[in-house]
Amino acid sequence: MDKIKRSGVFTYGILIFLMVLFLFLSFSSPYFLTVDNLTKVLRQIAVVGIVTVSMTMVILTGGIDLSVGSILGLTSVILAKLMVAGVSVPIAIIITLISGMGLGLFNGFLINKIKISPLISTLGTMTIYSGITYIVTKGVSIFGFPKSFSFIGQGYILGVPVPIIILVIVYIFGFFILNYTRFGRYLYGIGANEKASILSGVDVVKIKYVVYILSGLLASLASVVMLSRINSALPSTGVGLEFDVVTAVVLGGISVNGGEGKLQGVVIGLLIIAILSNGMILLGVDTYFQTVVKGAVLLMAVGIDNISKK
Amino acid sequence: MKEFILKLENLTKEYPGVVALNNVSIEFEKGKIHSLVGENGAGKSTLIKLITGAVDKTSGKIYYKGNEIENNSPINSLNKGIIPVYQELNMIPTLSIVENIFYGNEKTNGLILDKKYMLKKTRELLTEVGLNISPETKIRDMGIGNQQLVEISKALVRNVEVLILDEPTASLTDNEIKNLFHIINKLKTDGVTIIYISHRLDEVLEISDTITVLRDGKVIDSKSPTELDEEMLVNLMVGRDLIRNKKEKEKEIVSQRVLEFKNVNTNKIKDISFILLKGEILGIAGLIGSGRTELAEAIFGVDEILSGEVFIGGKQKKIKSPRDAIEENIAFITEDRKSLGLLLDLSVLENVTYSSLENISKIGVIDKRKEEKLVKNILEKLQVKYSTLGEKVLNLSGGNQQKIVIAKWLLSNASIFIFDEPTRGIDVGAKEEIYNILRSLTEEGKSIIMISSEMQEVINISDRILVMSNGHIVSEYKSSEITSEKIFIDSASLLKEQKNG
Repeated sequence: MDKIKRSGVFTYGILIFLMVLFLFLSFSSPYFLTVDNLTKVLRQIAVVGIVTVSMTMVILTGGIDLSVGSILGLTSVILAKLMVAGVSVPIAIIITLISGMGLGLFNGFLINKIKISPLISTLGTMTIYSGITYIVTKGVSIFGFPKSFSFIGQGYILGVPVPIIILVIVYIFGFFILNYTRFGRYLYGIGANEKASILSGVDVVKIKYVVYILSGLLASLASVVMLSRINSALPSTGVGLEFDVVTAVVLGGISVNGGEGKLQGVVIGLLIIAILSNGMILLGVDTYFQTVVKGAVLLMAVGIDNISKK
Repeated sequence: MKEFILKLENLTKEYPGVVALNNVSIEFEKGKIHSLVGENGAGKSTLIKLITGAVDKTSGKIYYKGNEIENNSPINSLNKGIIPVYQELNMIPTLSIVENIFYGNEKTNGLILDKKYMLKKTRELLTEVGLNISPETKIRDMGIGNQQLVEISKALVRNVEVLILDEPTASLTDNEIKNLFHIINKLKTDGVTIIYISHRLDEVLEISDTITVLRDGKVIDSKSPTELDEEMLVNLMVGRDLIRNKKEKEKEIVSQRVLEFKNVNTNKIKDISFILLKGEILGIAGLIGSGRTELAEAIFGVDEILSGEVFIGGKQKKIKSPRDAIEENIAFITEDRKSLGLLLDLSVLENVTYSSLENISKIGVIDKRKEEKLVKNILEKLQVKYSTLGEKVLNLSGGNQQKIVIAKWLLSNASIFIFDEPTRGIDVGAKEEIYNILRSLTEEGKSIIMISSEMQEVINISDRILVMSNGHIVSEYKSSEITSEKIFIDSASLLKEQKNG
């Protein structure tokens, strides 16, 4: 079977970067290469990781969703309020996921119906959604959830942390969608040439609605995992999440212009983001300096992508 | 005594695994029009890239005004007055004519742009190329033919010594071509040397002083057009006797109406009525801007139909989007392959099945084995040259890209094909193959609407021809009763009315 290669060189470059980073941290911190630490790393990236799958799809169409952090924040407050009000955990989770889809639907509406560019649409809703979060919580955190709820974020199945299991399932789902379904093919096609897609009979508007709804859904799924792990809904939950997500996706070789890149690459991008954060904490790097490094890594990723295309 | 402004000596360019140019020597005489012809892949583009310094030569020498050029680069060659105008226009659509013409070459007074001078100069240049529009018109608001003329004005603003025109007439109508030739001849009398590249051999024979034929990276021959005719040129180019495109006897057409328009109006076309029969090729002729493409867009649901009736297979239908049109088995092979027809960064496989995924998937999941088999079969049938199914279509030649688009629509079970300029920018050998595909489609009972600016093409290929002018269909002919002159006169018929009215 012919393999369809996409940005292969770039993915290898980033894989080497990951290995170098890994080796460097193994030597410079005795604690880094321990089962305990690595499990922690994986558990921490689950939240970001879940959202990278839908962000990959959004960016493949040539769009972006900056509101994922705010959707995560708002839906975690919805979930918290529901549980505190005594709604049973499964029902509360379902309502939360539906709300996430609703918030994504609104993004899709702005982009497809009102024709505001994805960047501006989701920049707008990012502020609106996080504003609502503050209004609802009045800036105070919510806690006091049923014991059973903590299983999702803190439990283990056969020794593997549940968040990691959820992350792996989401990735398998994403991989399947992107490689084996019509919907996945259209995501690439729309990003490569939206006009040609319309003329080829693809229902571009429908696909773009679905992809933003999916983005809202996975952001709210991430909020479930997050809330269960930290056990209280802070009004600031999710702030800045979009940055880590977009960085991981772009590091993974998904072209910001859409149409190019593979989800396998995003796994590597995600691991780099996670190990980088963890490593900097272990090495005692100043918090503010950490953000400088992360920003630099994002620019480096896009830079390498551009240069390697010449 | 002949003066040679540019001399190429034993020029060779190798890419990994391919010799694009092999020991090529050509002399370009000052103030003459020297044409380069050859099939796609013959080495014309590489030759131009070497002259303009866009790529480095592997070996050989380039002399300009008697001195060897070393360390050639696009900027150096521009400064020397060697100016290329490429087939793919290099302009910024959102900027105006004047801004484009002076882009990167702005005239300033100190730090401030000298807008007055630039406007005045642009007006002069536009007059020179016969364009009667405001210099402040945005490029995106102009037709492709006029854009071409702006691109040439852009070359004239610099001190041009050698003007390289790469397929300048690919998207021009016959009238616009006449105007262009007039300009080229004027430049020639001013002492400008012109290197002219075109697939249209009649033009090449008409305008050139010397014609050099390239094949497989080598110079086959350099001759004066007086020693050549079209047939001899084609033979030199392809190196085999091409079966000339002979008009077949008029076919017995089963008169079954597959498509009918009755008094259809859109914003761009007026009172359009016509019928399309099963198994026929209906040619549409007319100038650019006469509403040909807009007619195609109305059929395909791109442009909204404001009034009138559409019948498909005898039943009245409303087509509101390309999706509706595809549902009725209509296919639209657009003029602009790259921006409207193909997903350039995606693979051959992904492009070919893009409109027919529904037929090869169950509950949204693609049957990849079936997909691959289908694609391989259809590509073999159309004789597409590609390395792997995973290859990006970006890397294919124009003719093969066009076949990919056709393959896509064949898989989607289309029965009505609209071809808009099907052979634009395609070399002679591949053109013949495209014509053969068109014919075999009609033999399978499919119907074709073909829009073309090449009158000879319309006349040779079509069974019937509609001529459009100013948004109306002005006449209809059987192909046996039509001549280029008739088309020409009819095409211009409503332009006068427009001016009077």
